Amino acid sequence: MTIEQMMAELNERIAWFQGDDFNLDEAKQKFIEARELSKKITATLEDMRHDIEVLSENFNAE
Amino acid sequence: MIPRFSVSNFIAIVNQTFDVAFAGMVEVEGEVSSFKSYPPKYAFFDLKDDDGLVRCFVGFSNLRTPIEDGMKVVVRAMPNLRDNGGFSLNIQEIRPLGKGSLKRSFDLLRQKLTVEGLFNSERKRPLPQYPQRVAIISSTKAAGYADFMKISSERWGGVKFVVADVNVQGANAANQAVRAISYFNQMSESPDVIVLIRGGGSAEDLASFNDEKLVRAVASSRIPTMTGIGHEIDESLCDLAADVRAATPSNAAQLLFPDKREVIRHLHYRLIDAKDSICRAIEEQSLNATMLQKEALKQWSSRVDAAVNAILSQQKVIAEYDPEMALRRGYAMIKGDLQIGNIVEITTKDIIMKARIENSEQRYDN
Repeated sequence: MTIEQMMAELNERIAWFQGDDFNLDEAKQKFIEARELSKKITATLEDMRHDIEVLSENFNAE
Repeated sequence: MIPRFSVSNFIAIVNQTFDVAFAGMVEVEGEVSSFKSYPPKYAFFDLKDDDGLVRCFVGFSNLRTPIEDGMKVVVRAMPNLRDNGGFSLNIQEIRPLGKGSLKRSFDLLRQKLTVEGLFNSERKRPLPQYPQRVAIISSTKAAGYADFMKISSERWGGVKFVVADVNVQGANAANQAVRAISYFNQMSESPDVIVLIRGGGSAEDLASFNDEKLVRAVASSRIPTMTGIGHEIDESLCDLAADVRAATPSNAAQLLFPDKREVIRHLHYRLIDAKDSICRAIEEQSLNATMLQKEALKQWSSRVDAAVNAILSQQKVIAEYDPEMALRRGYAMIKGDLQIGNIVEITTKDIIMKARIENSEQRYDN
């Protein structure tokens, strides 16, 4: 799952808390799941490193 | 011995001598005069200074910046003695020199490309929120490139950068950037965005970003483009053609990537919001339960009151039937057989007495 997908999923989960489907019976479990996902995103963000590839192509050539 | 040639051989030898002397190419600077263009094929003009003049020929594909009489320019050209004996410089590249010429050339090209709609805001495309593959066109030795990479690493991660290491100023810089844009547009795994990076410099240093072919390549790129060229005050035509213009290389990294520290903070706040929603719901339900409880108590209390009132009024009615009440009001109660001559018992409020019935008669006519 990419960061973008994880963020989208978290947004969806958080939106549930402000939506019409919200109910206290499910809220606790949903909150735990959202918190776990948030922790996963945070860990992924902190671990991410860039990968840099400098092309060997000669852009001087016609 | 003095060499002797045929005319055509002599011309060939002279051109070979130029090749050897200048390695095929020479740069000459001077002022443009008698500029005549024959679009879309070629243009002629004279390049002169106070003491000399040389004829110049340039194909339209190499005329990448507007030129007019009076402009100071530097040309990169091959000297050429033609078959008819005429001498000219065959121009490969022509660049305005000095602030005045650069500004004039910039204004002319800007006007031309604006009319064509190249800088229209409707053409601008948004960049992805979380780019994963980013193409960079820059010099890896340039400070601007280092700034961009440093800020990118501080803010975000996990990005695949594909870097075209090109000249970012001087001869051939624009051509290299054009080829790099074309290369990225043809990659099988397309980047999400192409970023042109170049740190600050003089107007002449940055002039390649006003090259017509490069500006058109930026505008027509299938992949969204971003520029981070020079300082905040520098504005190139590539900036105007790009989908997003950043003020500097560092600013390009700021615009391209979210700051992960802010993202983490935002995640934290969103969880707090979710938690608040739960707390609010609990509070609302608790309030609701209390209100229901109060309402039930009120109902119960009102029913008890009604029952008490009913009992009290029943008690009043019952009290009305109590003979003692009649006795208290002064009446007397008679017990016994009510026949003349019989003795009956008379009870009043305070005493009980006995009396004989001496007479009786009907009170009403029935």
